[in-house]
Amino acid sequence: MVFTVNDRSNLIDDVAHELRRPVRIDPALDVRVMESVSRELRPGLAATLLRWLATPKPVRLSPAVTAAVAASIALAIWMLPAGISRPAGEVASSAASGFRLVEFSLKVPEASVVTVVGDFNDWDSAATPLEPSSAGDIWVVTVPLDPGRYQYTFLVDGAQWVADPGAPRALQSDFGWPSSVITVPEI
Amino acid sequence: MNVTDGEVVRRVLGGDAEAYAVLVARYRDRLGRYAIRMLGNVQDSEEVLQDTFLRAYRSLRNCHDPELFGRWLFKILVNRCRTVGATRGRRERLFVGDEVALQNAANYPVDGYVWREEIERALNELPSEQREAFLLKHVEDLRYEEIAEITGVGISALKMRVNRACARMRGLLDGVYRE
Amino acid sequence: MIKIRVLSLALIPTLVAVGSVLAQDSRLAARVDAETQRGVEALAASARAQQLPTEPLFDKALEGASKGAPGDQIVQAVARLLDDLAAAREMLGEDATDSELLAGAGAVRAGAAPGYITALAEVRSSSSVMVPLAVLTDLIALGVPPDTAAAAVATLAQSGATDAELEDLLRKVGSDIQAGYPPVQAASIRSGVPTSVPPPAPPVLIELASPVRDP
Repeated sequence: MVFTVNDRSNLIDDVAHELRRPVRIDPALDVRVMESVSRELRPGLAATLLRWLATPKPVRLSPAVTAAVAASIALAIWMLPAGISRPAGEVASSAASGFRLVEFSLKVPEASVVTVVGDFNDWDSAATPLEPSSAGDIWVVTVPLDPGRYQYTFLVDGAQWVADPGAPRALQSDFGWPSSVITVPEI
Repeated sequence: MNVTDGEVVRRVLGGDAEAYAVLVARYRDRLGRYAIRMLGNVQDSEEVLQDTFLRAYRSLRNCHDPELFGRWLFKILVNRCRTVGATRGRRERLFVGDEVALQNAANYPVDGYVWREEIERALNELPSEQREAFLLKHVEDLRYEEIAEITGVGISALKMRVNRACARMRGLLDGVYRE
Repeated sequence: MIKIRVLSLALIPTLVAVGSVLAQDSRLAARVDAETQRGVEALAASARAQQLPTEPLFDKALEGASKGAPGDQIVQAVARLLDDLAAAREMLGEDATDSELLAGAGAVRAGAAPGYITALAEVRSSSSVMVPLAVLTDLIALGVPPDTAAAAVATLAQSGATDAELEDLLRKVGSDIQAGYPPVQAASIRSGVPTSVPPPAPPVLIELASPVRDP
């Protein structure tokens, strides 16, 4: 190959010169960007919208709906503010370090082993086993968690992944098996 | 006299979304060039470019110095290229030359095309962090302080990357260059 | 002696940081193949360069490994999460904490409009926006349309609702849905926000009977 180029000391300059040449970008890209932009909430609009939303507005309630707004909550996870049903020493320690004690429970009859697997234990399927209650069908474990948001799943008998029926589902089901999600607020 | 980036940004934030087209037109070619050199794939590059402009629009209020919109935009682009490059690098190692060079073949004489092909082949041989630093320094002609701000990498590490990239490019292209 | 001790103490954060990185490597090495590990670590390096948290990326990879996902799928999922974290950073700003970014990434993935996420962060400028974002995401997961969920959370946050009050909204909406009410209706009733998000300007007020509070 023969190239009529300068001496070696200018090689990088020649390379850069070539790479600075313009490239061809699809002319329709501008249009696509602006179409996407037109579908977005304008950057300055959100605050206006919030102000509107914050203005009290009358809302109609049907009697049937009103009657229904009394259901109790059946979450399988109970956020325990540090100190509830815990020894006093541990309460102080919990409050000082900012974590909360979170009880995970799952009703599953006739299981031999139940573990909870999630962001808080490196998704290690053996790290956090649940203990069966005296009745035998409810499995429970209490885990100290720092404030944050965690995904988790129960693993029953080492084979069956079970999302927590009482907790919100994680929307990102990246691997086929559903996960649940828990948010631990700051104390 | 041209309207400055800062003035356009303030118009967009004030509710004139269509003014954003000025910024898109102003930066598309330069950003597109970086993305194509970095990723070596026109389709990926255009997707990254479109995504970069959209993300910038969404977070325009976080552009604290509107007059430096271009640098802020470049930062978003560099990060997008890193993510896409890391993902794509796993499923395919594209040869940079063919697609990009052929696309621009009309602009070059035959010798120039082959030379350019060799350059792109060599560029693709660089580790991505060296390619990134090399392009920002020697092609985009940015100062190390600017590159550090865009990439989040320290200046001494950047200099080392650029030096290594240059040495590698010389090694790869020397035979081609001297024959 | 004293000097050495001081130096040792000064080194602790560095050693902990290095140990943490090595621990991440070893966690992955034991659970995924080398190619997958390289892919995940490349993404983590990108996250570090962007000052984004890396731990959620490793968590995602470990989740995939635990669930037996193939390497390609793991890397793609980690890349998606990195994308979402970066988008959350753009919406929440440079000062967002790791927890806020992760919660923001969830809201992004759930389909919450970027303008709402940014606006929520502004409303909560003096306290964490993690819980509002989490509640927003979880409402969407319950089936509440993103705009309705965002309007509900934004309205309460704007009026000064605490984290506990926002979590209470989530529990009540979940309870209503369990009782058979459509998600959009449950969210609207519990938050006092009409079911349809208004057009930007001018707002269209819906004339209805009485304010909604808990029965």
